[in-house]
Amino acid sequence: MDLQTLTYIVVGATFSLYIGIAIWARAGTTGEFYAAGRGVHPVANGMATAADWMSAASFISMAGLIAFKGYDASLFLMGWTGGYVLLAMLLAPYLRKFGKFTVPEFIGDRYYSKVARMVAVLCLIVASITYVIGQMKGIGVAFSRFLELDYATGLYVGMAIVFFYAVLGGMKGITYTQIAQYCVLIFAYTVPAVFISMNLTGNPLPQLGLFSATADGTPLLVKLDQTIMDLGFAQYTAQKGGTLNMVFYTFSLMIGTAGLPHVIIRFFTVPKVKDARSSAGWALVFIAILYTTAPAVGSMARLNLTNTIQTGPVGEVSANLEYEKRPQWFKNWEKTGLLKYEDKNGDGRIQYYNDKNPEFAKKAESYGWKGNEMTKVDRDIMVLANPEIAKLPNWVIALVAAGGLAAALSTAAGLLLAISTAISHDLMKSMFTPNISEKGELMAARVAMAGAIAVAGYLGLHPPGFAAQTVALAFGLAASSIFPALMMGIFNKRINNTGAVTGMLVGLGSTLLYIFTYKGWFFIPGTNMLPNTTANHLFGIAPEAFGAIGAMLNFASATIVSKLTAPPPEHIQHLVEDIRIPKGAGAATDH
Amino acid sequence: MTIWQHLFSIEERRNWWMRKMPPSPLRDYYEVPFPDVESDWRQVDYLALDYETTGLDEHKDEILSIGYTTINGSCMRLADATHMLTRPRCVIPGESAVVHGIMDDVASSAETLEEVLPHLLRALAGKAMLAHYATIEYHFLSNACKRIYGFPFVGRVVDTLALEVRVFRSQEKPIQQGDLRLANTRNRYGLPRYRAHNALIDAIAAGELFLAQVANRQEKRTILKDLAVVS
Amino acid sequence: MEVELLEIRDFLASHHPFDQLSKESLNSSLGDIEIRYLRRGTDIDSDDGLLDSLYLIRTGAVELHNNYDELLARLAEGDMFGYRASHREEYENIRGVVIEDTLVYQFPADTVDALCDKHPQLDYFLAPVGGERLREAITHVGDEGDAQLSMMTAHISDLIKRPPVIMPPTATIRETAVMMSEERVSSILITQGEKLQGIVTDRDLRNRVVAKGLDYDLPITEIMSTNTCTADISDYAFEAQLQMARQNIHHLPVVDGDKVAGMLTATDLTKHHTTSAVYMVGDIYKQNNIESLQEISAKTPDLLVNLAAADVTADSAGHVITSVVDALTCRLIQLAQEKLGEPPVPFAWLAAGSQARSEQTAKSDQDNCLLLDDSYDEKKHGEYFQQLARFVCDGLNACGYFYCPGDMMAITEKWRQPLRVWRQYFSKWIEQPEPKALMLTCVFFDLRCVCGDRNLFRSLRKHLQEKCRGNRIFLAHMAGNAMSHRPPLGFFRNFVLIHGGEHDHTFDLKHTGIVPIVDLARIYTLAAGINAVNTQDRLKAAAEGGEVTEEGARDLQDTLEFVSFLRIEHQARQIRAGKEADNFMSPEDLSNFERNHLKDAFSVVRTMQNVLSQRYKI
Repeated sequence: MDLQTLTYIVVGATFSLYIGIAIWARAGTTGEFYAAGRGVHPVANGMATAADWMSAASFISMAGLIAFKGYDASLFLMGWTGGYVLLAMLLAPYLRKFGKFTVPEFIGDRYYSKVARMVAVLCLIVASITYVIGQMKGIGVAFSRFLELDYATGLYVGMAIVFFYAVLGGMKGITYTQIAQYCVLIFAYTVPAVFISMNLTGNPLPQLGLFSATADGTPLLVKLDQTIMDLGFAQYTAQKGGTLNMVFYTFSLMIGTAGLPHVIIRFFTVPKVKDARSSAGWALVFIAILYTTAPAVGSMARLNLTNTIQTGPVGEVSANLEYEKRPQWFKNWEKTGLLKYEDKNGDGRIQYYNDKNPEFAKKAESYGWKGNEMTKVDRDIMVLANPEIAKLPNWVIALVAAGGLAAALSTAAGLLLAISTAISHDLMKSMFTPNISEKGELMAARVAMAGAIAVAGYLGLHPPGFAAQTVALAFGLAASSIFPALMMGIFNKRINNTGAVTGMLVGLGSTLLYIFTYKGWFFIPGTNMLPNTTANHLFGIAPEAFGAIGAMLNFASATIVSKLTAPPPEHIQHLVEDIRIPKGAGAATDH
Repeated sequence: MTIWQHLFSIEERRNWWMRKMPPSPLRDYYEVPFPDVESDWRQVDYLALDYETTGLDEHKDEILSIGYTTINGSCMRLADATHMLTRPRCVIPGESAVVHGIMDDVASSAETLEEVLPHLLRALAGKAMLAHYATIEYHFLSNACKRIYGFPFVGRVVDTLALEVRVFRSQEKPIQQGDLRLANTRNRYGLPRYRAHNALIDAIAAGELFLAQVANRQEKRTILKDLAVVS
Repeated sequence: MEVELLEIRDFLASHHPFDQLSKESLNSSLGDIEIRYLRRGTDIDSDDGLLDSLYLIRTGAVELHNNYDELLARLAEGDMFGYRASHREEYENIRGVVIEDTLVYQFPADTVDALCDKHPQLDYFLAPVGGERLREAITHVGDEGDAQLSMMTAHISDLIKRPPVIMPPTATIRETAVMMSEERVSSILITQGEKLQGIVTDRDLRNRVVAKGLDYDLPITEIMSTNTCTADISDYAFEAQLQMARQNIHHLPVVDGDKVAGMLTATDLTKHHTTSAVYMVGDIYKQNNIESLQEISAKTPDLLVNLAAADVTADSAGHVITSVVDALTCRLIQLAQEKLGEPPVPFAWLAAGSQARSEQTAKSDQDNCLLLDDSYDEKKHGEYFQQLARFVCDGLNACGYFYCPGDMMAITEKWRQPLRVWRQYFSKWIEQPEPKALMLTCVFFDLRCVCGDRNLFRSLRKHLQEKCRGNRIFLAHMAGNAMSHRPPLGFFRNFVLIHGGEHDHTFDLKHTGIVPIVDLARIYTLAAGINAVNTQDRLKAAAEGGEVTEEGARDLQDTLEFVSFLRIEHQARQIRAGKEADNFMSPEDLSNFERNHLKDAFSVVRTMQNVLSQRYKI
């Protein structure tokens, strides 16, 4: 059976599994009235949370980033993991006690202000759409490869499918579907990793394989460093960016995670506070399985890719792969336009090296190489291409495609639902058109969803960065606007509505300004005012890392403005005190 | 109170006639003081009153039926609602029978005005008379009293029609033909439409209208003087 | 009293419950009326004597608010408020706001009491406060025996209110329809001279004209029913009723010899059915043992059949039937107290579920619980209340209100607790909405105090409302739970039917038709912190509170009425056929028109559910 048919079958099978579970779960609930449905076990809930959490960015992009950026990309791992812990331990319990399950609701009530609520809604919409862009990118990559189309067409197909998936929407809420998605996803991610790790190091655990010795006795990472430095690339395991940038970047990711709407809700769907805590713990375990595998997948993929093209010692003519003899996966990815080869020196062989490294470029010229001939290697293809590069069986490759789609679709659908409700209910029904009919509300949500998909799709075609970086931008925006408002709302009773609104606007505005300065206004290429290089950055801080600075500006301006204006009303101050005193949760678990 | 007002106030006339008059139902009426014009309108008792007559000329035409009920302040009581037919001394003209539906044979079995009037006067004692276009009621009553007891009738009178005219004046609205009819006036206050031309129903209708008119006054405090036409 | 007060008497006579009084009684009560005019914007609260008199609105409109300033009711012409009309304990701190200039007829409290003593119909309508008064009042039923009220002795002539609306046979369908809508009648007689030719009803216009797409300009004779049965004006009302029930018709032409004299509709007979419920309730209070109570409650199915035959709205049928259970419960509690002695601590007997919502139809299970004062000491008083609960629940079971399969009854110790424990229950359910808790909330969030100390109940309800209002996490769980009952409508607007088993090829009118609406209404109510328990009331209040649009609430109300009505008809049909009443309806039992209408109704529910799930992101 050829790969494409098999991919169709596997993807089809997993999706019918999700839909089947959805139907089963729904039918199962309309039973006897007095027989209450069973509660979901914390472990199962942890899995569902992990599935919500892991998006295309985690599944598709993170390993790709690690593969090409090496050590520096570890900040994504740290930032997201840290963000998750922050959310689960610090924010969710307090929001829960407040009885609000979306951030705008909390902010609207805590700051007794419709304006504050509206600003929060807008911040969330901006952050969520940016996050969806990342998902769309992943979906585009997956579909273009899976249907063997070019990337743009793949993206259009993906947009249509996301729209229907999200409109049918109901599936989102069913825990067992989420669990199935997690299982497919984690299976698809780890199985190829195990195979590759076995091939390269003989150790079945990729996490350990990363630090094990390869067949020739050299440790894997040493070998990788050696291989790519031979081709003029920077050392894989060394830190390249500034430390300050790293720290801020990590912090932006961490605190940005806090405000994202689709994950917070997960914590409130668990009825008991105790269970919510233990499922948060379990979710961390399940997330860790993927996150700890990612560095191995990235490193091994890089090694395999390089070794496939550069089959022998650098400089020997026969050590470079002949283009005519290129493997099938190479041809397939060429069709998507995400992998491009240009025979610059006309020798019919592929030279893949770092021609930006002046030292190595000279050496390369002496070999008769006229520049890097792999003109485009999209980082987001790495996870999907990895099993093919490692020559794993077809069913594994098909499985990875299914896993990538599951990750991207579930997160995209969840976010789009959140965006559409924010627009139809929080903006239209609650503020602008309170008399809108119920049918109108449903219609508005659908139109909003289509609009969000169109915007995200457009930006997915002209992305401001790789999927993971796009997502990082979203986190940066959320970090600068929402997180400070939440924290101050919970921990500082003195912050009033004027302060909070000012803070959010300052945070969001400064971050957007900084990003647009380097990335172009509204990410439109060519409109940037300064070139996006480290030298031009303020203190060497990348736009993606500015969220943490934005948050600080937010904190500062909110505190100052609140000091200068009247304190919040009595009952709000009492409320803030009450949230932090742990009587509600404690009493509730007693009996 | 100026001396002039004192001399000609109806309260003085009441005292005057009370002293002059031989005992009669009218004198009994005069023995009870009139409601004080300075008192809040809610402290005053009113008698909503209406007649059906054979015509509009108090000297020629006769009272055919009398209907009344009391209003204590802002509350109209149906417990006192009374409807009495009187026997006219002449034949009921056809055109008026069309209006009120009282036929000769019914009327002929009724009591005479002499028998009926004491009831009315007893009910009126200490109250302000209230009617829509009260001139008719006032003059017919006064005329009847003169004829039967030899003395005229005086008393405090509140006229819903006059009140309504004041409303029109204060809003500077022109009064159109028919605007001041009882039914049309009531309609403007959202009061239900009643069958007209039964003395009691009309009396109740006028009473309800009065309550509506007072309730709709803008002034903070309303005293009887503000409402009465004869005081 | 003066007969000239016709206007006022006629007004009274055309409004329930005064329509139940004889002319003489009406005349004699007129003298007690005081008339008052309330200007728009006026407030009346208990300081102004709101509860010292009973007010009947002659014209205008008044809103009633509670002390949280929530709108409780908007009253219009013919509605009553004040003493005993706003009797329900939750409305003691009521405040009336006059929203249009209003003319009211006012009955002072002692007059009302005196009237009620004399007229059991008034007494029933103006249900009294607390069991004590109820017992006193009920003993009057039957003593007087207002014979003319009884269906057995009323003549048709007493029931006909207006001359018949007639059309000549030459008229077209359109002209007839115009006439019917102008005259606001649901049926019209076709007469030649004074002789009856046929009858046309709304249903005919629907089924024979609109549904078939008939030309409106055809003569009316095309669609009229010709061989109509008639009643004679001198017949007894019950004969007419029998005839209607037998033929399953709702309109009966009345003739006087050869001449057409009028039209008797099922609605005209309605009030007599409420009367029969009044008598049932009255009878219940006269019984001294379970056996005789059992006998009376065995008549409930007949009551349902009668109500269905009379085209009573499902909403009022629910109220009527529930009043029977309420009375049974109260009587059983009285009997238990006679046996066990006075209660050692105050208590409140609470009805839950459909009884609380006043939405019972055919007999259903009992859902109830016992709320005790905090001075309750299990060691000292446990025995008493256990026996009380046992007595009442057993009694109800014997009367056909079977034990709740979920054990949500006062005999279960868990549901027989002092106030502080109940508060903890509610706190826990709200803070930890597990599936089990959510199932319980569907029963215990619809509570009504049937008997006992209302203050106890009030403080429990206050606690519950404070916990719920604005607690979106809990509401989201409720909403999620509500989504488990979806209307039986497939993707292609087809009915989704039960396959196999006992109820093959049917759908469940209760769980898939009514429960979804009840659930929606409950969530709206909890979100807005409204007191109402009855679903229709809840929807009305929710629309006023902005929780749902007016249009949405109206659609849901209509849908609920329609579906409940179908259910009552269905159950009445089963009872007539000598079967046990259930909720499983086959689409084949419906006309094409009804089927389409039902699909529309279900899709309304589906839309509203989708909005809710979108809002709560589930």
